[in-house]
Amino acid sequence: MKKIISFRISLLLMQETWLNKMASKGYRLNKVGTFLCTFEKCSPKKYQYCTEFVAPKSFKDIQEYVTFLNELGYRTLTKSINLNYCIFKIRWRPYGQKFGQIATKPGTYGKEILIVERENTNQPFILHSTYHDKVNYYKSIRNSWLSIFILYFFISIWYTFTYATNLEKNVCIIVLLIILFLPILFYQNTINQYNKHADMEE
Amino acid sequence: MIYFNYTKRNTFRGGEIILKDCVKSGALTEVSFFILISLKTPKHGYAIMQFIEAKTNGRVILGAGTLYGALNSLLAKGWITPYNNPNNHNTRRKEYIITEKGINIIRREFERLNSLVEIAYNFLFEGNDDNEKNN
Repeated sequence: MKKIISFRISLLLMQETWLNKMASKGYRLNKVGTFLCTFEKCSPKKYQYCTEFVAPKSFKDIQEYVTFLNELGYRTLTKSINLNYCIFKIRWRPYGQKFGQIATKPGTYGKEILIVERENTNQPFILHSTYHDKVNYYKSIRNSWLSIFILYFFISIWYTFTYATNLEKNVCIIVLLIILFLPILFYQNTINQYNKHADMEE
Repeated sequence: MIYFNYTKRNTFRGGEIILKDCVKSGALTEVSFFILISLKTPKHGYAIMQFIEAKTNGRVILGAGTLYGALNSLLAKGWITPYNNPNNHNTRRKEYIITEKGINIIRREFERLNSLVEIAYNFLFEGNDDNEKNN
């Protein structure tokens, strides 16, 4: 079994396309860490992958979901979206659902992305197949970006009024605000498209 | 099966997934309808997916995430219930079965669809309005 270790930091959708690309070449995901992924050699196009953002869910919800997916015959792996290393942590997630608002390590912190693997059925591997379901899923991702943006927005307003004099600092703040706003635009656009479809067809 | 465009449905939040089924008029989404139909006999998740794909000749393919949300929603509404199969040696797989309430929902959906079929039949093949008959 040949192993490849790949160093990669990428956004959610790109990770999915990259995993499927590796699977079509004949590499099955074995282990996944924050930066490094280990693959093992298998026959080409044997497996398909799908990624899901599960951070808004609570620990119990994620466990039940993973149990359900395993019962369907899918294999699941978890990946972190954070670039830090810690042993204990507790964090407030305003976009979380009920108990999903508190993320702890050990717990749901560090396990935000769920990578689901199944045997190739020559059909696209989609976890959310109805338009309403897709809309809800993308809303949760958009809300995560929106919560960061809103918090940063208020902090930057406070900062500009307190230390406002330097123009260079203001430009940096505005540039960062724009960068944080771009994912929100992207996901809102996808939500709008799916909403249009959902209104016209089922 | 005749396809209808549902509008102005009430939403029911079961777990994290919203399933738009209008309980007042009994209009079900295709997802709810087919899951309820499939659970006449006890089934686990994979069997439900296979049943729906076979029944619709591949037209409706449920994703795992959608199925999970739909099952939780139907459980919350009381239309399906977990089933403890004494013959099930593979105890990891949870099975579900339709409840009496779910059967009544299907019965109402059947009556609703029947009335719509009648109206559509009159439109297509009878063609005369009551006003025209009186004139």
